[in-house]
Amino acid sequence: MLLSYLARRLGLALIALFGVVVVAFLVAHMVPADPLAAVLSEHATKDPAIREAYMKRWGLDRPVPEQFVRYLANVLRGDLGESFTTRRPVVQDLRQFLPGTVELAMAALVVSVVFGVPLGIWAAVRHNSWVDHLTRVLSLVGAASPIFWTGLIALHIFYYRLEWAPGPGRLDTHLQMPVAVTGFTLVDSLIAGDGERFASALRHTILPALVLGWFIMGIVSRTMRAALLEVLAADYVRTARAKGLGEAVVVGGHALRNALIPVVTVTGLNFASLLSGAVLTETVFAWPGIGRYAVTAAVRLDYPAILGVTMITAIVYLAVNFLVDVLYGVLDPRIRVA
Amino acid sequence: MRDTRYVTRRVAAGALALAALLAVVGPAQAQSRQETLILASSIADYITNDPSRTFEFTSQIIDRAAYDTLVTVEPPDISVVKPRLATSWEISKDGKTYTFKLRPGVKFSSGNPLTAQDVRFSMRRLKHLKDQPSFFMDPVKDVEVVNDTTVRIILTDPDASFLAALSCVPCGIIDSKTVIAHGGTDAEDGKEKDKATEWLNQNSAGSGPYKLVSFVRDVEAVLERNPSHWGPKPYFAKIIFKHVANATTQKEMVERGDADVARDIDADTAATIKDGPKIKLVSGLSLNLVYLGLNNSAEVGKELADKRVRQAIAYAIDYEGLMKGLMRGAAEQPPANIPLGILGVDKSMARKRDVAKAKQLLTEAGHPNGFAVKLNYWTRPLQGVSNEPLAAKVQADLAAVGIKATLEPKEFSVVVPEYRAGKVQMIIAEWTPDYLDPHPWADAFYKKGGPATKRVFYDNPKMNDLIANGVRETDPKKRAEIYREIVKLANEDVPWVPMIQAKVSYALNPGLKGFVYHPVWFVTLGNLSR
Repeated sequence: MLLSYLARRLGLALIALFGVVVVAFLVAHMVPADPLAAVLSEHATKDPAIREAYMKRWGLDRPVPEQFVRYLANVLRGDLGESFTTRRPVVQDLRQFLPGTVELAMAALVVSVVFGVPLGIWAAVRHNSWVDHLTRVLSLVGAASPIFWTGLIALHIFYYRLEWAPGPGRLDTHLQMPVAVTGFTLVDSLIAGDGERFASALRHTILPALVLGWFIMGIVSRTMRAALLEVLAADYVRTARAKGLGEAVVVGGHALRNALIPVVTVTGLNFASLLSGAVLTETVFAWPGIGRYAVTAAVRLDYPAILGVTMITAIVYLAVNFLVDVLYGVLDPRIRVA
Repeated sequence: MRDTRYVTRRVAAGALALAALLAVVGPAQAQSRQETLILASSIADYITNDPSRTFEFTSQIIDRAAYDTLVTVEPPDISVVKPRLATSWEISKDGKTYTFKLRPGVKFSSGNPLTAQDVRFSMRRLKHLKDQPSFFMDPVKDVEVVNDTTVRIILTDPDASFLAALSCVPCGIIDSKTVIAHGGTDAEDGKEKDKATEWLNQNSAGSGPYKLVSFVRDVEAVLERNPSHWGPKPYFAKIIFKHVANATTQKEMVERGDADVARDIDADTAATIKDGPKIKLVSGLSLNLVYLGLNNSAEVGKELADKRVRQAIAYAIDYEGLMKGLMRGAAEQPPANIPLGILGVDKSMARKRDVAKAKQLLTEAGHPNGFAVKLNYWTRPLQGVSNEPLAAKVQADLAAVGIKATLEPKEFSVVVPEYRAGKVQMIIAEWTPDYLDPHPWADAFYKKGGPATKRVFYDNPKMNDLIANGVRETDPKKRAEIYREIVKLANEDVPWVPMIQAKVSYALNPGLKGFVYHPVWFVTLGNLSR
């Protein structure tokens, strides 16, 4: 039963992925612009031979349907093409930049859960008190303020004014990136046994993670609050209370477990929005991640890079969705049948 | 109620524990970075560090430190070509043969000696890669090795700008043995066969004061002192470029001591910097031009095909307002699409606004009530200039003489191909320097068929003759006179309205010594010290 459920979800995910690739390819190629204009200098375009060489290099001289079929065939072989701007295989670029973003998004996820869940519980337990209002305001401001702005202000206050936080970048300026093994700077500096670099990387993670995490912390805490309130009004909670159980046991032991189900879903779904939020956070904090790579790619109309980023984002999104579905199925056996 | 407080307390305790954890990961240990130079800079323009392929700003600064050129041009006087790897040179009477004597005993960072053979290899590789900067070798017919320390370059036609061109980064001399070992070639099929670029992106093979030791795209570039360098030992043992896009953040990093140089300070950020013990604002006049392109053809330019109309437009622009208002004084008005500081170009030749004259010219041309025109511009920032307010200002200035301009903002990748194909009526565009001689500008903007000239269909036989004479003339005084003539004629014909030559601002640690702004490669890193 569970297996066929998983197979069905996986099949749907693959179809969705194919759809994403088709749409992204068509949209990128429908833009009435010349991708080489952003890449080649004035002098290079003076000589038609140089231009032709570049057109040929990226297969832009072929008709669009042919380009698409070739692209698909290459993708199936694990080849995402070569970026116009980096002149490197897109796979190699993604391998370099994705870990940074995942590191940041994970840290932000931790922040949002660690702060969001307790705040939500607190607000539910003391609903309509000042705690509830405070968390509502905090959540609203977090979700509503543009990350770009929050990031700049946070840097200005905590790095420049108060001198509490380290500056932008992945490491202190005098340190260089550790040898890339996994691509995750925290992990790589540990592998290298470099304590100074690890500490630096960790300190540099805090502020961007707080800024990015705050963004979805609000959603997590509001969901937590609503779910817990609903559960607390349920019959079995009343029964538990009637049995004379302490409030801590009622909330922590009985209500919380059920209330967490929607929180898991919401958190999972918002992981994808963390990825897109990372685009702006990375720009402000000079964070070497896929967000900045995506921005450069979009501005320069770098088709292979745009498609690569779109695909990897879609895969992450689908993978998280899939995980959430599975988790949901595990938590609530009724779902599996539906 | 007691129990709710219990929950509240647990939550509060959790939050406190987290705050404590954040505090434990304490501040960085102060590490002596006396001998490390750190530049906070956007390095997103990177495409390659291969000197024979690159034409982007960051890579030029880096490659300038890693590779030596035969000759160099250093501010303040950027019209004088000075020796570098070549200690002396002779130019034949017909202006076609250049013989260079090379500095003896020069070694590359690999330890290999630098010989005339390396010069020949470098020039031929640059030519045969057929990449962005290959045009530097367009005038060259052949490169001959006379002996280890003498090299002869033969041109197809005389070219008085050639020496200045040799000072540029793409003409840097590369270590042929090392580059060949990494798959490089100077053969004619280099475009297909050369495989050295990947290695040269991460390393360098030059004789300059520094060598490139690592490059991580959009993160950092690291240079270290080249122990084999022939010249004086540079002060800094290490130079790091840290990628930071935001100007305010760059400035704050200098003030906090995390960086020594903030490279991309825009006018708004510059206005917030007060010189003090932690930071110093410096600026230099760039050679970047922001101009108005006027299509001279009847078909696309329509009314603009009439010289009088183009002159009227040039008279309509409020240059003083542009310099003082939009640019806050951080700019000069160039007299032509050849910037100030270049041979033959003089500040006094710049046009002044004259609304009455503009209206009179329009009346003479048969448009007493003006006409409608489409003003194109791209939406990404120009060189140091915000394009939206600039376009609005131009629109308002034109309206003051009766010309109704419709703004046509477009994506860069959309409007540039249209412009290059000669399909836009009027456009705000930009130009950055190729090398420090008037010829590249004259050739690009005023010679028939030049890369920019052909976009607006400008063609004046008298101008073409002047430009041909200018590039042939070897006497600097006579040359300057010719370019003055060119500027005058340019102001008469007005295929372009030169508007802004921006100053470039940057912030420095006040303890940094030897910083002189270079309009092509920003700064000669080897000259810096504390």
